[in-house]
Amino acid sequence: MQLALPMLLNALTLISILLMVAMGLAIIFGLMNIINLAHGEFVTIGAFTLVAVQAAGGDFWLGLILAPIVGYLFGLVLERVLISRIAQNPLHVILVTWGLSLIIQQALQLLFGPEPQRVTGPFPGSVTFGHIQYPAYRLFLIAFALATFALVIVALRRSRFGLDLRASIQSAEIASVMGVDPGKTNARAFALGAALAALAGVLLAPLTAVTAFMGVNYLARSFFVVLVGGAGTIGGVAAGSTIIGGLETFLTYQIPPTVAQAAVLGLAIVILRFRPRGILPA
Amino acid sequence: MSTALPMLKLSNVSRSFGAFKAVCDVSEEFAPGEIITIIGPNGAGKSTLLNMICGTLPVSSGTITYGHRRLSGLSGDRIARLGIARKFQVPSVFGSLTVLENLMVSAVSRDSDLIERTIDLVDLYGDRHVRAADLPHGKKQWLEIGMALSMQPKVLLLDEPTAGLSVEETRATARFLKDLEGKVTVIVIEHDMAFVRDLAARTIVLHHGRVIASGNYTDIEDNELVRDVYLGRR
Amino acid sequence: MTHALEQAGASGKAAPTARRLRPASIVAIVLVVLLALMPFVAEDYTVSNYRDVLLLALFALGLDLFWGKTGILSFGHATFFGLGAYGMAITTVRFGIDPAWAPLAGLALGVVLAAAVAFVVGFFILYGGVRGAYFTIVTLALAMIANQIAVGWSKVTGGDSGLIGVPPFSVPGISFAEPVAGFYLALGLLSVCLFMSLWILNGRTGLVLAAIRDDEIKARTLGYRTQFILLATFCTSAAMAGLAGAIYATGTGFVAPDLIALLLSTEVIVWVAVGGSGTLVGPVIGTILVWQLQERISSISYAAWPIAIGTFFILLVLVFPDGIPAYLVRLARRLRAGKGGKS
Repeated sequence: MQLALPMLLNALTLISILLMVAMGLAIIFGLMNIINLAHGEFVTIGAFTLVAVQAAGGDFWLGLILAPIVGYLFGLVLERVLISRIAQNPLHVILVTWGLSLIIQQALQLLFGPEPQRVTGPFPGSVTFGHIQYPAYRLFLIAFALATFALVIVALRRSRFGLDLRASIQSAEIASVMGVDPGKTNARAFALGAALAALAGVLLAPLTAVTAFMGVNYLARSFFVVLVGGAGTIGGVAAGSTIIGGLETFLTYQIPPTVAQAAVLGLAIVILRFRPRGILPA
Repeated sequence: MSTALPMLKLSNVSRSFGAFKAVCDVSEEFAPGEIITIIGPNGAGKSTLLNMICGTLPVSSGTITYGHRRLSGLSGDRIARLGIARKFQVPSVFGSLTVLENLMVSAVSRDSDLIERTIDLVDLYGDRHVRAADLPHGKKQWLEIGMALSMQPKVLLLDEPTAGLSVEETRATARFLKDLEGKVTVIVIEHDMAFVRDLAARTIVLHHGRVIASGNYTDIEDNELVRDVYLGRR
Repeated sequence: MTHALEQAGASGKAAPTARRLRPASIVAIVLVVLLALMPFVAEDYTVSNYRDVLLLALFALGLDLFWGKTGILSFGHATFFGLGAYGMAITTVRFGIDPAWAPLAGLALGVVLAAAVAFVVGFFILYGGVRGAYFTIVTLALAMIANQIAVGWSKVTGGDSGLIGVPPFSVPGISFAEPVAGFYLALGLLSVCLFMSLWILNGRTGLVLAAIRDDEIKARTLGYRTQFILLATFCTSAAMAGLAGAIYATGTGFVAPDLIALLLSTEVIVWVAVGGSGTLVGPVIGTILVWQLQERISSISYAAWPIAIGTFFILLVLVFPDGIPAYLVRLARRLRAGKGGKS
């Protein structure tokens, strides 16, 4: 029990982050069937928003509010200007978004310098459960992320936009015949995904060194969350995040982190072999 | 019924998609070199039946036997290598390859004679270097039939081979298929009744996934039940 | 509708078109001849550089073998190049093998590692029916993981700094340490692989791959074991990249994680795209051309090159999706039509 609780909480931390990053990806992939390789950069942009805010004298909470907005706008512009033109060809989208990610990474590095940035988060110090101490900030992160996730689910179930979105994922053709504007739906979905990823970036920033290349790592993992869990469903994202995040955390206790990640990748590939559409596909 | 081993034997073959039963309990035997036509209204399960024979779709229950071998459960490419060739409903040829190249890919051996004969057979000698994607619909059908034949199969499954063909082309196809009698077991799904009549082969009528009549065409033509099923629809 | 199936085919018609010498093959011959003459006119420094470039071109050829012929993009192909390089380096630097045989052992390990990883990953993914964009993503993740292992497992790989002291390639009796010798080794390997690929893929194998690319299901109904064919192509492509990487390490004398990095994986895509994917000889030319450009741009600023690649990718999709050669051809045609057109 001594070791189990911190490990569980660490797993939850990773799972929560993956949940938010992958959710956007899952929606976009389920809806538009495209793969956005610049998705990791939304995370980075969120983190750097916080860096900029704190450099200008603002606090964490301002950054927390601003980052998703920045992410949303960024995603919106990206979708309308670039993605919508090439969305029919998944390979083209891969190439373009990869090119974009290279440019964004270099631009961020030029703007903020190559040194890793540090930001300060709220709730320093630890919380005590019996014999165990656990960083308070991480508990906040888990709670906030899960609350956001729940909020998104409710919004998707209750709102007009959510209905349009879910209908379009089932069948874009039928949805458009019913009056759903596919262009608007795609743009909003894309922007929402970006906002969620940016939010993940802000939450993540106090835990790690913020560099222009931090998003790439989350890109791979969140893709595997979507591939393994199944694209286009909330259950899929939850399942995938739990598996990938949980497994990686557990393995990191036994073997070096790089080997752990490699092992999780290996397992994901094996799972794909037997369930090519994921565990809980749309 | 001859005592020789049938080429193809379907025993209580069924296929369901969820609650929908596409094919129900079909049992038939096909002799080597026999020509059989399968007719029936749309949605009767004809293509599904063919899909199960060539391995594209697994059977839900029942078995399909090919000579001594159990076919149901084998992969599509394995079944093809065993000598079962298929022509799809929508002509599928390799668009970016020429007619000649398509046949080079499909031919069971590198024998250039075989390929040349096949080109002659389907009357595409003049188009041998034309990209398959640029061929008109009728010629694509021909090419696909030629590709199937170049596999030198023992069983040939044709799904609506005359769709989109002119009256003359349709007659030519019937003559051509009759030439194969005794050499290849041919199972043809068709809607064109003139063609089916020309072929004058044993005919099986499928309706709602079940065989409702089976016999030679002239008998089927007079069959009351078949008439109802068809005329009611047409 | 004329003869029956069994009628004698002795009608005297010509056999299916014999393999003509395609334009790509002619270009390849000219290219190899020109390159072979280079050491006679250039100094050692240029020759050494070109030795490296030709190995990178072999790497690009390997990628084109798969991407160009099956249409599936391998986004992390530097994984195999890097495995080849690290395999060679680890064998010759870390293991205490007789120096006479070490390079050969390193070569074997490098190539086998690359092919083996491709086999395992490919087996699971291809036989699971994963194609297209999904396959690309898996190779991308594979590249990230390989890079992390190269950086993280410093005991074996030397971590961030890599390994130095990789000896020049030699077989018992012959050393390829001299720039000219190393150059001809690289040219020799490239030429053999290039001509063999051209020869094999201009024949029936190439047709079968094109057929699978057009309609894999149809190919299966013709009896082809398509997953196996795709897997074999993938492994060959990886082995070629591994071969290039292994010899490359012997030329530069060291390995570092940037040989197994994502950036290199995307650079090779650029080389192939510039030359025209599927032509086999195009990527070789593309590598030489782009590498020149790369050197110039990188010397301006470190950030300039990734930005240039990023822009290139975007342009590649928006402006010339069939590759630069096809675009130029179309442009030329349009200009010619404009000049001689009606007024």
